[in-house]
Amino acid sequence: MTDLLKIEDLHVVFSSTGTVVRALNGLDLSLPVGHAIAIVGESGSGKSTLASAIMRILPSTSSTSGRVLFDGQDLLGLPSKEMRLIRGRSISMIFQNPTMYLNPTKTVGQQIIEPLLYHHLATPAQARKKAIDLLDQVGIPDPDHRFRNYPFEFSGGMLQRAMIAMALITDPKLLIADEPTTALDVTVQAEILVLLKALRKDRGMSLIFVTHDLAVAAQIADEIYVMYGGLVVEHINSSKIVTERAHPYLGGLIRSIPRVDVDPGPLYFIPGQPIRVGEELPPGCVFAARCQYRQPICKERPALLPVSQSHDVACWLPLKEGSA
Amino acid sequence: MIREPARSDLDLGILARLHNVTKAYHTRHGELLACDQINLTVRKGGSVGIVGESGSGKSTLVRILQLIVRPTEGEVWLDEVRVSSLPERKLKPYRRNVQFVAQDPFGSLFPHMTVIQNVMEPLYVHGIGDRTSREGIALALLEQVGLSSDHLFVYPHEISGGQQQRVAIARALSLSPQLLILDEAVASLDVSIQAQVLNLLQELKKGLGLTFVFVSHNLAVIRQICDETVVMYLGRIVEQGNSRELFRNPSHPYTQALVRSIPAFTATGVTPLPPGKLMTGELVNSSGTSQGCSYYPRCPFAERVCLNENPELRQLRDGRWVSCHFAERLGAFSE
Repeated sequence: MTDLLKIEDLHVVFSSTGTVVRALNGLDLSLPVGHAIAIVGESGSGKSTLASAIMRILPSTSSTSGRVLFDGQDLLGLPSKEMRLIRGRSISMIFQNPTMYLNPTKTVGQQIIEPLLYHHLATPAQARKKAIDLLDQVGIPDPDHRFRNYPFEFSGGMLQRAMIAMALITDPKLLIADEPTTALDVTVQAEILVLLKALRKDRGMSLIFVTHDLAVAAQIADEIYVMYGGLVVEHINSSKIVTERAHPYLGGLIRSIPRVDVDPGPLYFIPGQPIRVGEELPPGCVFAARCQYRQPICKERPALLPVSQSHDVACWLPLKEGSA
Repeated sequence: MIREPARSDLDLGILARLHNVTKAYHTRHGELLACDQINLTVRKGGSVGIVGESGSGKSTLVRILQLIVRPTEGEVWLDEVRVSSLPERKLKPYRRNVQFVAQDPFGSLFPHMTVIQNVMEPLYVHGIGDRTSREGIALALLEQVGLSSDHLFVYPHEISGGQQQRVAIARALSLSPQLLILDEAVASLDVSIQAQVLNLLQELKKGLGLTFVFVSHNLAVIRQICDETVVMYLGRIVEQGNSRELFRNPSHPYTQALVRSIPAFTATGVTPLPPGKLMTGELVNSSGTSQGCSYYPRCPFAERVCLNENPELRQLRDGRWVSCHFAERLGAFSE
């Protein structure tokens, strides 16, 4: 299957007066056409930096190296003028807090049609018709009327639906969603996930879903990339995440999440702290300091290597099936 | 079905009680009932989880329990005293008995004080002991919450979020409160750290016989650490009962929607996304205006009676409380 997006050896470094933060440290990832992948990690793992690096919306204090091949074209090498033709057209993005990304002084409708007008893809009248159709598709009742509403007249869940409509109006090939359901109530989250899944299927669109919630990732995506210390430590098919997880970090994460189908008892936890932003990476395995299976060989950095088809792990001593 | 022994058999007594508590706020759009005739009993040594979506009144409810917000109507009882009718100046000793841990640990610690000073501060405010004895209490508490001696004389910004939350818990325990209220206390923590804090709370509950009220939007967390769960919707309690029972067999349609929405792992994978629509329409705040069930506009099972009659909170045969006309029919195992 051809890849819509292929990332090779991506590094992102933030530097401001005297301090250097290495957010991404040589990351590889591929997204086949029409697939959904989830990027999962705890705070400081670099997952949001990755999403912003693909869109090239990182602040100017950052420097990026490596390759981000989208449709065979290296986005990192594009002049900013050409990147603007891709952003919001072939690649769209939605964020955690829709109220922060919408202009409170413009109607929701005006903002939804903006990508179409910016990219000269439709006349205002056509754009309006398309927007109202889309509002209907994303499950907003009475779209004609809602088109003329201001953001404050929408609830959080409805605003996120409107953001999705805005992101989809240019029929992008790729949608990047950065924690889009984190601020929502659990029932609304489930509805938005169901909606995203259906829209993606109908449109054959590819999706990158960034989240800290491993269970949500497994619900929405075909494949999961687990990040730690700015690196991918495991890449696994989401249907195999519990039974075949191989990295001790992923194994530990799954066990530390409270289950609802067993009697509550003490939870497993991973000792120590995640690598903090700005902290120097260890020369060896990034997880070694917290790993209960640590061996002398872990002083060397393990590469992300395949263990089976579409399952890669960066660990010298991957877990066996069924073990903890 | 084998019935569990009634909870009252193991009772150590009642610690806090809300009786018909209503809190109304006056807004530009008229009166808003944040809490509407809430009855809640917190037993000594118990753990009560409160869930509900944003705007359901759960934060107002705990503020009333904390004696920060006074109810418009109804009574608040704390350890056999009707504190809701006491004047402000007499509340201080009762406030001491109810302590609070907030969502953002860094925002709730004093940034200009070291970890140990933070834990000693409430003792100072309440004039307990001298400097040496206050230090002794703080040291013991910090050890109890699992902070090593390296962390005593550092400032909050120098430690991680999980450690900050431990300090906040130690500080809340410094006055030996009878009731600890935790509002989204693990929501900002990474899961591996969240697990440690949840385990700590369980240990404190067993070790100190601590009573707590835990507010969270994360239902799996509530089920993990609370014996009893209260589900709120638009200022009202819609379902209340033993956590495991309530999650296994939710009776109110709103609780059903909540439980079916929980993303969680199972032995072999992950819970599936709910098929079809969980709820119809949007949150409509009709509190105070409509005479019918407040969940009516969103309920997929609603009938005519739901529009006209607000269902009373009533007890089902398995001991749980539900406010739904059709609870028996909707809860598969209830009668």
